[in-house]
Amino acid sequence: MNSESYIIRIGGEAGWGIASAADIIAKLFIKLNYHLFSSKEYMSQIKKGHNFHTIRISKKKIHADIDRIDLLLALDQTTFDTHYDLVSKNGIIIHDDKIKIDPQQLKNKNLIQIPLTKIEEKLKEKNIHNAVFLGALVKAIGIDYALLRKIIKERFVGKENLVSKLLLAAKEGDDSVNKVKDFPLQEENQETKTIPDFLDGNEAISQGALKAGLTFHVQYPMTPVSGILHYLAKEATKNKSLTIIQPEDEIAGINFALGASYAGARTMTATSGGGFALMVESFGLAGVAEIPLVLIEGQRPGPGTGLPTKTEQGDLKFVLSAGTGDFPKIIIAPETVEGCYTETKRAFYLTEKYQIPVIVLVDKHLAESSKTFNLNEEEKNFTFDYEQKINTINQVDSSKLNSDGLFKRYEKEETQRTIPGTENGIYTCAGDEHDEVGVITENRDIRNQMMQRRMNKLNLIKEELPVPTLIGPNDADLTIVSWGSNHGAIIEAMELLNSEEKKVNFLSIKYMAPFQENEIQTILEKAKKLIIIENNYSAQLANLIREKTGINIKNKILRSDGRTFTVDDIYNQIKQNQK
Amino acid sequence: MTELKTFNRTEIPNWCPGCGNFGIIAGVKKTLAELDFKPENTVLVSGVGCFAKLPYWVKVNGFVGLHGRSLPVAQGIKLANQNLNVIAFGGDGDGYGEGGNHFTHACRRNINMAYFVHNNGVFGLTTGQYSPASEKGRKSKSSPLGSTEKPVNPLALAISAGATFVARTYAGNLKEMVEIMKKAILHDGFAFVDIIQPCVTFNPQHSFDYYNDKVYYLDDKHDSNNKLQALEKALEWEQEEKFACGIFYQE
Repeated sequence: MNSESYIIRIGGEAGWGIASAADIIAKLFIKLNYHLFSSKEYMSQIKKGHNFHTIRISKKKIHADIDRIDLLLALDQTTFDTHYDLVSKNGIIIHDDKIKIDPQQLKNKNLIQIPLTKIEEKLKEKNIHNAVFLGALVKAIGIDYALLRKIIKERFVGKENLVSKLLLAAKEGDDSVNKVKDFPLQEENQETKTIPDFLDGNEAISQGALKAGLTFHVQYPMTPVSGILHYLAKEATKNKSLTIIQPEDEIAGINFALGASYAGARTMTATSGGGFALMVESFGLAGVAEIPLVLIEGQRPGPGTGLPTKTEQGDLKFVLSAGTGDFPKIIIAPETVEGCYTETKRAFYLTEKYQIPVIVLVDKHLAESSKTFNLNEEEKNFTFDYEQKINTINQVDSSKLNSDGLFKRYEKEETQRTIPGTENGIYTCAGDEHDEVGVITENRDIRNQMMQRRMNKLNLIKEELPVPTLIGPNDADLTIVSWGSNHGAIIEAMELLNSEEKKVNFLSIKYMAPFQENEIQTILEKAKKLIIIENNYSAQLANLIREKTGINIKNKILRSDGRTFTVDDIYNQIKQNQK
Repeated sequence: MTELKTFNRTEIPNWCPGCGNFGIIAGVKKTLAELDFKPENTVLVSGVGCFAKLPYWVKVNGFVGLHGRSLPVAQGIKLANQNLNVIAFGGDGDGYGEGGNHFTHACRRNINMAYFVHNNGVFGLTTGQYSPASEKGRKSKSSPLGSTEKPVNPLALAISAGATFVARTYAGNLKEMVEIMKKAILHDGFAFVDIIQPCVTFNPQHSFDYYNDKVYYLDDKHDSNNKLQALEKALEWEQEEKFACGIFYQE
């Protein structure tokens, strides 16, 4: 369908360096000034299994996967068997010569055999598949080998032995095949641009947090957000103001975070649904004690351990109702990698200003897919005064403090606080219901005042959230409603449909709590026909919309098989639905 | 020296008359005064249980969090601001049961703070069930035929988990308790003190009289730099009904 992009997929067993090969392919095309979208699928095991990465390359901005492969690097039989039918007409399959193939199945495809065993014997090396295939790849599509050599050297700088081993292997791969055809997107002259940023959601979240002044990150490892822990732990080796803790469990994690935040650190934690389930009681503590906290929840399919390395949007209802009783919380679901950067910054701003917990809700597909974009351009979308020091956005000044030493933090204003160390600024940060200085109470009037004070924050927050808007033509026959990482595939499918004179527009809902029901209701009531697209079984956003607006969206495109929506999925299903 | 009354609040603690917590809160205030700590630079952190209300009634910064979770909160506070004097409190249900995992890891992490556990051998605030520190055979509302579980040995656990300061003290002896609390707070690292305390309402057989009879104090013969000797001393209580108080182990 979309002929303006070129898709390379590389697959093999875990432990074969598939991820680093994919990274090198991405860097090749970034150097050649293309836009990229790259996703990966892997299994919950360290060796064997079947892992694959897909790199989609285009001259214009792209946002999602499509169901086509132009060049398949099949390092093993499973990759070949699983993916060959997606290879396009005249597409290229580079494969290990040990793979068994029925030539009848492969009409109109270019097969390139790699004598991998022979090369390994010649070089007396093992586990060099990735480099051999990279060498063959550049030769087959007419990319200068020198560029590959440069990127391998840059990527493994300081590891001279490894570089020479990989370069020998890559050269063998390069020499063992012939050019099939020049890379098809190459004809036009590419204007020289600045090298863009190429980040996945985890890295964009980390960078957004650092930009917002992060000083304390605590995280127990869990797929799909371990990338945040890795990125920030590395950052902390050179950033003296950043503390990283890997706690004994997620309950410890969130409580470390709450302690640090109370003491004045700008604090974040990250986990997936299972880890968040452990954190829920403490999440409520942040609510009642009014402690700033940014919590990243990277969804993967549940229940229980579920499909631990796959994607889903199944935790929306869970995070919305997490915690005992009623307390104000903010839930933001970014839609794109660049949105992860911006919305993480917004999360820090909101949590510090209103002193309530904020969840940034992403999913595996968003957290672990990479994309080229320009951070400097994205920076313009949301800024606040980052120079304001730790938690001072609403810290009180000394004129409000009494000489008796006790600070009436929970008196009238919704948001004010001191941090420990402030003279005459003492209060108790309390998980029990409490009076204005934080002392435990069961008084009925105080309870009512405190509930009112806390819940009123949501009204203040609503006033400063960006308003939801429709993407696409105003007079559409069909309005797609969706959220989160489906955004990219929906945008591209919508553009295709509109180019075929099907009038489609799109409402992507980003702020789940507080929910902008008035604005959303107005948009939905004007729509001629509605369809919801969600990566979960029960259409959780549709249920939320019905709860908040009374509007029942009956047309649904749902999946809960752990896989992401591709552009083709959405295009085909909308067409089907519109018949 | 900071005056003792600096740490007083107007509210009166609502613990049962005769509760061991009165001795402990007096000891905490006296310790803070003698160490010349400023209220604004001191943070008391607790969880949930009768003991956990202590920070509400001392005029310093307080953080009263969730059942069993005082240790991770306190460690987070200390790591965020090393200038604060951070003391975490636990109970035997709160700290040895619900928060048992945090206890092990706080010992080996060795962050510079003190951890005082009010050990009265019973769940008080939930009206008297046996706790992880109750002796085997304890009859209670939740163990009408007697508990079948061995009690936890918190000192042996702390020593083997890598704590660098391990002590026991007794709520019935203010003078000794304050000395131990001061040494724990001044210790450079994670300092754990198990404080034995009667619960006059739900564990009346373990009264002040009972403990006054069974408590004795470690003297010069005990080498607190010797980990094996410390462990042996910690195991003593499993063999005979007596309670050594003092510093078992210090690195």
